[in-house]
Amino acid sequence: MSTSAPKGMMGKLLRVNLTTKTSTVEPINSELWEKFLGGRGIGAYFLMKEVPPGTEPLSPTNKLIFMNGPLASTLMPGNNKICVTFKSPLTNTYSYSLCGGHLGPELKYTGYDGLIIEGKSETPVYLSIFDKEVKFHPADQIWGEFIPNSEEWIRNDLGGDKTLQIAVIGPAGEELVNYACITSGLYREFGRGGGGAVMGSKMLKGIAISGTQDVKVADPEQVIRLSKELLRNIRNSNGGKIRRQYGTMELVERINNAGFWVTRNYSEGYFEEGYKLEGPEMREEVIIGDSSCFGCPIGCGKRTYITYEKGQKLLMEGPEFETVGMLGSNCEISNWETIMRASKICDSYGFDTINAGACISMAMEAFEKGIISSKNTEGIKLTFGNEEALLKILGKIGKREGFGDILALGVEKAAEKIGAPDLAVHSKGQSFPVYDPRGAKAMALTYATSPKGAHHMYATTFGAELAANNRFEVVGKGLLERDHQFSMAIVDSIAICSTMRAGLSLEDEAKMYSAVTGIQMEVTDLLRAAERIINLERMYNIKLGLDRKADTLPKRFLEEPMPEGPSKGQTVDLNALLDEYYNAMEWSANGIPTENKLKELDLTDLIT
Amino acid sequence: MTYKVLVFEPNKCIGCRLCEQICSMEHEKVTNPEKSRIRIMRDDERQIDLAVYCHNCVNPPCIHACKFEALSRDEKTKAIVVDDEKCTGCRMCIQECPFAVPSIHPDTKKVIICDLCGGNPACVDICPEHAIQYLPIEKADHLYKSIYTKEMANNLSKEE
Repeated sequence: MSTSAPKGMMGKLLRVNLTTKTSTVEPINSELWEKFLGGRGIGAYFLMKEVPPGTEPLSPTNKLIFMNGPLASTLMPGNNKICVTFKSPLTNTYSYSLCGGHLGPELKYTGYDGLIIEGKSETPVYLSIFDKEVKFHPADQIWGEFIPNSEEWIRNDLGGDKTLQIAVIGPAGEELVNYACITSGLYREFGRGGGGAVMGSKMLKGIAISGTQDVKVADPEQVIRLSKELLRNIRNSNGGKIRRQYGTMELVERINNAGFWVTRNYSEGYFEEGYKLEGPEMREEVIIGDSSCFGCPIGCGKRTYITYEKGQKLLMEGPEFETVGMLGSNCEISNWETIMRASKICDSYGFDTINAGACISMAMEAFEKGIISSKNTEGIKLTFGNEEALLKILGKIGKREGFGDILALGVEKAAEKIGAPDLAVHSKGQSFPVYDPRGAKAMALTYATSPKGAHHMYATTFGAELAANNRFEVVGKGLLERDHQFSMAIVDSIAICSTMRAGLSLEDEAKMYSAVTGIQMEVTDLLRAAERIINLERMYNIKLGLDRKADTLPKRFLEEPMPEGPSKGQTVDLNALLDEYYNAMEWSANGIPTENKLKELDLTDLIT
Repeated sequence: MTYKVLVFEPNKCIGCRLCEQICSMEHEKVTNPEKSRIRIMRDDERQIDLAVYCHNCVNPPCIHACKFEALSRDEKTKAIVVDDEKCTGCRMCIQECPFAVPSIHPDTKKVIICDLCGGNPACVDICPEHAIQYLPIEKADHLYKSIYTKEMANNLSKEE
């Protein structure tokens, strides 16, 4: 094993054991950076190596693998995405989640590229990492506290330093809500897959980080020159400009007007009142400022403010497009005040707005169809458009109280429990985000084949499908899906925000990687690494028996034609799409990477 | 003779901290916020980012605070110059600075203070929001007056 790290990397990993309250520092095999790039790629490598696929997700044997990529903390555009990899309690599969903000860069400044959390503490603790000094602190006093109080308490417990970067879980993580998230800086989350529940199962309340180490790049002059050029390109791109104005909320207009913005528990694709939630409307009604993650020239974060009821004030960041779709259109709600308050409840308890929204819209449909009644819901009239009901039920999920305890399981298990399995919209237990795949067919492949269950960021194909005006077509979508999966695997692994792609080409990404690391990286090398990452992720699930038969979508999308709007009449021909995609990936017809493919990608040893 | 100073507008800052990154890259060829002469401090709860940066005071308290004559002013830019030979790292200048600007360099343990990049500040150049400007001292005052009256106008129009 070669241990001298390429430039841009710290070359070391911090391993923390919560059972024994000890930590060790390990070198990272330097070959991994070229083979798996970093972040998501190296996270998948460690999960395969150290967490057997059969591991019980909420047991002490599961791990939280936090990994930075080579571009983190290097001045390059959007150099802030850190990945956490774990076995998911929501899907019982391989899972990862990325977080922006300032946490990842700060971890790198402590001198470590990654942090692996193992074991389980007997009592609530939080962890502090100040360069080489790793300490375990009691957290009994804040077990049960909301996210903002928890962060503030930890900061004050450590002396009040505002430069500390802190990640915490809220009550939802402690109570093992299957889609609890890990939150840093109050509004940046490792959002999907239930990483917060894994952290809660380990009795780890938070991680506070402060570093003073240098990040040294291979060619400082080239890094300065290139980053200035690319920062300008991204800032001045059309995508960059519109995100600066409206954040991800710019998508409402595009997706709703194309008729695939999920509405009424994914049964429709056009929300009539959607115009009230469009970007310019948001800017006018609630936005008071803009906010960036570390190294980002766009600032898609939107600072918002409302007053409600008897002079109560709410100042927050967001909500984002997914949240507004899941808690808004999908529940037939178009009132900013309610959507913001709902989002703030999720942010305070610390759970994923997408899965929460899907659980609630599923329950609303079940309620309206008479499958459940107010007897099941402690008197809450859980109908579409009922704003009070939405706010009440969210709090119950966070506390796992009454009917909220059922919805905390995730949409698949909750729907089974109440006897409405056909109303659950998910793949592998992970709920769909807000793009109805009937209106952009490659998104069906994204949802069905993503190894962490339905997740839009595994391959955001809808933009290309809208631009090419071929969104209802099937032919050619296998290749499109593959290329987008590769593209996301690259940015997620080199540790830049995917939004940067508004002004970045693959060539630019290769140039950035080369300038930072000194390893001459070509586009073909990046794509090869991306293919390796996706095959590795796939193999983790294959070992769990999840082949073609697990790459499914709910019947709603396969059999029920879109009832109204600009995508009217559309269904998804999933089998044709899967055939194309497996073919593009050079996998077997059953969706299994062939022995030759694994050999070609040099994965055989790792997998067997 | 007039000279130029940095002026920061909190309402424009989005907290990307590119200024910190370019500052340490230009001065030290590494990125490390601890080696940056400008810091951005975010208040998550109140949703605001504030810069801690050298105001280049007319009569700098840091120079008066130094008992070792380690601090002086650059003739051309009026930036504070640190004499590493004389600096003891006592941190009196940090305490006396009304804006808490100087920092202790993590390696040398000497004080570091903004040198205005010799008259072409890298932070000003890289800021995507133009939240920090480098202006002649009188023009800086105009900017403060403009910010003040803009806020006042906003408040007045809200009251109507």
